[in-house]
Amino acid sequence: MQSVEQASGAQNPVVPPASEPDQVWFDMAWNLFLRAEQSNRRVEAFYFRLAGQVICLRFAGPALFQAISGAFEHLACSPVNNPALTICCWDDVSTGVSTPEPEFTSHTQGTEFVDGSVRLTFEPACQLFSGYDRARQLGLLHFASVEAVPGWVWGSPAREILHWWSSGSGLQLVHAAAVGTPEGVALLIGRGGSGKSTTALACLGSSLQYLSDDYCLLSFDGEPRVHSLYGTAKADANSIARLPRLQSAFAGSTIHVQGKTVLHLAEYFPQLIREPVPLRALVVPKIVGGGECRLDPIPAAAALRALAPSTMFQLAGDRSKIFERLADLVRRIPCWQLSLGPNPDAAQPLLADLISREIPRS
Amino acid sequence: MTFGLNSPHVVQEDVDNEVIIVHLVTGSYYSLTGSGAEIWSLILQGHDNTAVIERIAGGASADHQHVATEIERFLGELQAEGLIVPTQDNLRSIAQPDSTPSGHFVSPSLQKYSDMQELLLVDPIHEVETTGWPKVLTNH
Repeated sequence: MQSVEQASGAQNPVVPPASEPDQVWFDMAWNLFLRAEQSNRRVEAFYFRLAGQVICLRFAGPALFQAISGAFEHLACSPVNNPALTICCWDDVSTGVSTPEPEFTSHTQGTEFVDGSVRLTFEPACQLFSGYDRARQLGLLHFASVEAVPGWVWGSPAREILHWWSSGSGLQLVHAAAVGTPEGVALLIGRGGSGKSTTALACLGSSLQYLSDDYCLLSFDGEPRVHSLYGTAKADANSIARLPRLQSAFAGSTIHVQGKTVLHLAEYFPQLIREPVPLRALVVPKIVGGGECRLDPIPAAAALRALAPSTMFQLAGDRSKIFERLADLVRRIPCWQLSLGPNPDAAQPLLADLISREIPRS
Repeated sequence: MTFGLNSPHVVQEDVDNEVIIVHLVTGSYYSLTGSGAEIWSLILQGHDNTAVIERIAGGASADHQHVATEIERFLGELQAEGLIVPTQDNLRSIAQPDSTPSGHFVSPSLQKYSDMQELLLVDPIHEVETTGWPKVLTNH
């Protein structure tokens, strides 16, 4: 794990005078982070490279370091002076600051989202605050305490902030698993429970390599490419039982959230794909129980139904843009249905053959 | 009567002649079957319901009254789901449609998918105005 003390890149952006209520709140939270950081007397920062750009995670103390940075360990890089995005992470309990809770309008469940001069979300159930100011390339990620960090954060931390940042950079965060080779990958798409995670996890340690079991990033310059985002894997006991190659790795993890064990993969599977890879196929898994595992072509619209809603409705903001981008994607990439039988390993040769066939011949 | 897309709450894409519609507020999404995509396209081009019926029925071998009834029913469904809203603009009612009729009428239907509503019920995202965001407490 890389911990950098007060790296030169972890500078404080210039703060212009705020006037909008959302900007005022953002600045107040930002100042509280700085206060927490000063009281810690030590800045801890972690740098990683995503889609060719360097992102800095800056911590006001050590408490959150592992929870947040562990998911990006596979993308770690050297510090830079001007990262494309700095995400400041803190919690009140370990740092001794008292970040006020937003006063709500009427909602007590879910997430409040403001799309103004800055973007803000607040989840009252876990007191998670996320903020993003594009002008300052600055994200804020606040928790009440380490104990209050919601389970999904361990697998996909700073998801909203990375969505906002990437969406404005011509990239798209998608709800999809991805497996393949350095020459091409297949995206496994569909709502939770469709079999995409188990199929992707079954590829760990096989001839097919792994990019993601839940979220990844797409770029659209030239041919669409898939970028690894989170180097994590999540599985419940039932899935782990069906993945014998992974049982010892999952047994070694101490991160258990909401009935699932979370694995930081870099330490167990150093052969993870880290570089962007051309997207060769969109694959919609479907659990059929008995019968053989098989691939069948499907209309692009069926792939859009599998990919777009489950991505759009998990993310705050830019939903129209997401839909348009993903519609354009399904028009360009071959779409398939993967019928899954009881053996998750059976999909690997089919996917390997599919990816191989879709690689353009020179 | 003319209709328009219930924008910005509804988005739609035509992918290989299959229309996918997403209601961003309810989380429901839809696909159109039968002659639904053709009718949808004419509506979004700004043709009023009479022009749509004439256009579809004129090119189809089906009974005119049957086509009219089915199209009116379909428009009612689209309205009831909040996908289209009445507009004042009927400039296109006498204009020529931008596409040629298929000549084959199949009763249109709206296939609705509600699986995302579960997600929205468990973990909804409420978009609020910037003025609705909490005030800064004075002691901070």
